[in-house]
Amino acid sequence: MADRSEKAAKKAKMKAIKKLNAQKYREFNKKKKRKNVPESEYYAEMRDENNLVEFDNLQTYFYTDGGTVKAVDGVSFDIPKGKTIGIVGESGCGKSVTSMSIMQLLQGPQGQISGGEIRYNREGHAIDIAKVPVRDMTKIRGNEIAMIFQEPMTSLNPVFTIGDQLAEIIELHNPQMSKEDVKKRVIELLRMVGIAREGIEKSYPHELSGGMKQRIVIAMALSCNPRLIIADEPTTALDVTIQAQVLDLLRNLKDKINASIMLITHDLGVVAEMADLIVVMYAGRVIERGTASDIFHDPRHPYTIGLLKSRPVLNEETGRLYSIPGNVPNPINMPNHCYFKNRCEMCKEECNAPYPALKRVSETHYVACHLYEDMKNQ
Amino acid sequence: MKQYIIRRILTSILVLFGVSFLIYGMLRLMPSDFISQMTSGNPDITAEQKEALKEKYGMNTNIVQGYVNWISGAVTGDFGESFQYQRPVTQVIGEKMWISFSLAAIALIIELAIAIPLGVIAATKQYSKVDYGIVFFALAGISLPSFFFAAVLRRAFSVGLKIFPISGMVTARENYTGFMWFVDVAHHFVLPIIVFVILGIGSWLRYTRTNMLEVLNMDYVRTARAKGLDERVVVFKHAFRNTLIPLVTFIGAQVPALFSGAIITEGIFSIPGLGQAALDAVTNKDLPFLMAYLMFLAILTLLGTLISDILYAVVDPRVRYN
Repeated sequence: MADRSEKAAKKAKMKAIKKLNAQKYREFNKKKKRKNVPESEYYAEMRDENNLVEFDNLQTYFYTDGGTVKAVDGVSFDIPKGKTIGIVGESGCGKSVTSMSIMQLLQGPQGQISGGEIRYNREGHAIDIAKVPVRDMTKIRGNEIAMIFQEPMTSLNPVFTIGDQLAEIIELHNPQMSKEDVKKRVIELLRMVGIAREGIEKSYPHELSGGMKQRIVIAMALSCNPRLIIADEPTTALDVTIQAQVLDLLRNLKDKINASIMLITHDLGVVAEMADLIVVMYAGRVIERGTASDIFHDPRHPYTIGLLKSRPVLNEETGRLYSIPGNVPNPINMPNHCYFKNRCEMCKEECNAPYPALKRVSETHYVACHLYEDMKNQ
Repeated sequence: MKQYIIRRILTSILVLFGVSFLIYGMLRLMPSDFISQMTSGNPDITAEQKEALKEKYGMNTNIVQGYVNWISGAVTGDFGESFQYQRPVTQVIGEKMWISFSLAAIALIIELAIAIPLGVIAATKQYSKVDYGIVFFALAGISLPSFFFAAVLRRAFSVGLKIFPISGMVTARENYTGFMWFVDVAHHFVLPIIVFVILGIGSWLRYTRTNMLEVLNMDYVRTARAKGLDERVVVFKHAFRNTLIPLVTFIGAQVPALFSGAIITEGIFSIPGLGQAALDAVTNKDLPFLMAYLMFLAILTLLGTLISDILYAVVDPRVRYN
């Protein structure tokens, strides 16, 4: 009997999930498909004019058959103009989902921005990207905010030449340009990323190496002089020498077109080299953020400390590298306390309290941990 | 490319020799033959007369000898005379082939014209009501037995509404010529083509949908969206070009089916196509006709795979032959 009622309860629960999902899909779809929305409807006010993007309590949920996955749950941080911000965290912590949210490229219909604001300091007027309908989003994607994906091998369409694929985005956002000008721009871009071999624009993606493909993807992202470049693990698929070249390239190009970079990676070495600011994420939340020197020289959150301990250091005799025990918790039905509690070596009695808010450590440094007091009053 | 095609054709010829021997052997091993069927109803026939008939039809040989006789004619283009039609088989096939082909080709074009757009729409709206509706329609089409569906159509449109003729290819005793003949044939073809299309559409549709779904999840489709392209361009340019690759190869494989005729549908509507002729040939043990018919299909099959391989290289720049 007990077994049967349990089964019935499970069935009822699944039905409830399905119903909720269907309702959410409809709701979000309607919102996205709207036509002729006046721009003023998604106007927003920036908190600080020097910021290019402000994430404010962003919630990106996936409405799956197993339940709602809160992939990003209340993430807030700023991307200042002209700066590089590194987003660090292990796989599945919500780094990529955050970046997909700002591009509105979440895998639909499950993935949806369910709450919060992504304020983007657009020329003319700041807007809230979370509210922009798809139709208007196409003017921002690739043009003002561009993305470099993590898999160069599969990110290019195999049936079109790379020249065509580059020309496509230039023509799209610069309809006034003549065919010759577009062609010239393609060559110029290829030269910029350092692969201007004669006639290379006529090659298909499969004729190029991984590093070259990644350069094409970068050229594509830079083609319209975007104001924000999102680089989602741009070097993971590449070998070390190419990695260094690609990072150099990104840094130089960023200065050339004066863009901001949002660098997503789990490679702390890359972050140390590139980033001005660092955001550490864990299980869909920001657990610590600050300048690069804050994070590397004065890490506060036990998770950040663990992360820094787990990387190899030159000139230091060590045995096995440190690894943080345990795994990221199941994203469905997250506990109410700190998500890192069960893996934390510094866990205290207070850690059973509700999830800690971000507390200020210094002017630039914030941490979400019960071990620290808010320094606001001092 | 040229070299590749020549090599393929040469190996195909070898395959054809093997195929022809196998088919000939199997046909000769079938229980009973044309002579015994012809004579079985006649108690007065003598053994000598039977022998004489066998010799006349070239059936007095063993399998190997018979095959050698057949193949030495076949390589010079002489496929012999059909037992039941008493005419050269090539002539008979040549006539009936175009009836079957025009039916199948028109049906295929309509199928593709409907199935591909519907498949793409279903894929882009996965799990929506539209998607479920389209998939239901496809499955219903696949599951319908042709004889049943044809009977329903005839009952509704020929017997009931009297819009379309019940069977045949031309109206008897009218002896139309020219344009009127064409209209008359078209009128007779409507119902069979509907049967072909409804039954055939499902597999194309599901094939398109599955491929499209797979392609839509590819990273390069996400890249296309990230460029700021309109969703329509993403689907119909970037995704569709890649969906075409498996579809085109599938179309190449359809070449033999275009000519082979549809036994059941042609039979029900009494359309004198190849399918019906082949069925008659099997029951009458018309050896030369069956040999020529099956060899014709074997050649078309080999040609079809060659065509689809060539088309594959045309649509997919990653494929190069040398």
